[in-house]
Amino acid sequence: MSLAVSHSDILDWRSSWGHSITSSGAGEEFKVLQKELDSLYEHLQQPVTLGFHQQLENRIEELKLKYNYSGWDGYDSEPIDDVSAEVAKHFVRLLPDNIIEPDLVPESGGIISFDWNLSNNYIFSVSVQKDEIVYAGIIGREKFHGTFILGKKLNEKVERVLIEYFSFTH
Amino acid sequence: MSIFHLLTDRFSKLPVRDEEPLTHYIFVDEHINKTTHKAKHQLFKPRKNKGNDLSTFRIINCVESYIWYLSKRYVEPFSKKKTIARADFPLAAAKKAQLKINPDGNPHKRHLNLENWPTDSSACKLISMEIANASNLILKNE
Repeated sequence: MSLAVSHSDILDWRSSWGHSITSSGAGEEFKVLQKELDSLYEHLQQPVTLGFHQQLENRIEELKLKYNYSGWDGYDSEPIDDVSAEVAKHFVRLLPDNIIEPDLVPESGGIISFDWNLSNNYIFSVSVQKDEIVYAGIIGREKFHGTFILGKKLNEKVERVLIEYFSFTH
Repeated sequence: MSIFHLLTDRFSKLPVRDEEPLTHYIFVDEHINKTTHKAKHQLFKPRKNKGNDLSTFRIINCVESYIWYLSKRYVEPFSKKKTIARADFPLAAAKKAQLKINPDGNPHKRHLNLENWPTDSSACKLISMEIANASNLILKNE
């Protein structure tokens, strides 16, 4: 049996009469159906960005596998190694929810860069190195750049730029 | 490309001019933004293990086939990769960023190095972005 239901259908169903079925002693088929819907409901409660973060981590692995040798860019570049990949993944986990998915670009120094590029005048890029994070941006007429040490929290300036200019809520 | 063009490239006598175009060759897909049809700024980062320079060729008065020939003859043997595209940009963009223009003529008289990049890697990143913004992507048609 197939059943076409929307996200809101499930939430409506769950909130209105989903709970009452179990307590009213419904048949086995209904119990199976409710179990499936409960599972779907739990899934829908997860932040959408979990998938986005996981996709970025997968992409980092892809880049590491593809560019794990010197000279991959045709200009004596350094390989993307395990350490670079791990640091980049750590950075992914610090990214706020609701931001536009960045483009991951390998750099000649064997590191990974996170780019948000809406146009020539709205670009923000963060390169994740072992010992420091390097960022630069062009936002309208404002041009800025800087570095910071990667810790357990995202740098305030970087977070502000991402939320203010590259999030879905602004 | 004709033999005529090869024999008559008297380019080295020309002084460097702000409005003349430079090119930097591209060997990997990841340096091409297929959505915006532009080269990504990472392409223009100076190579630290190459003296912190960016290697370019002066392409003023060059026919298309000669520009690709320069890569095939003088860049590909070292890169060991096929050229897939190039990014042309005005020399003025490099001058604006206060890079040193060094028409060293090695390995070819049209070769020019962009030198004197800032020691601050974040400042280099911003300059790379500005050069990328000023560039035009040209894909190689095989």
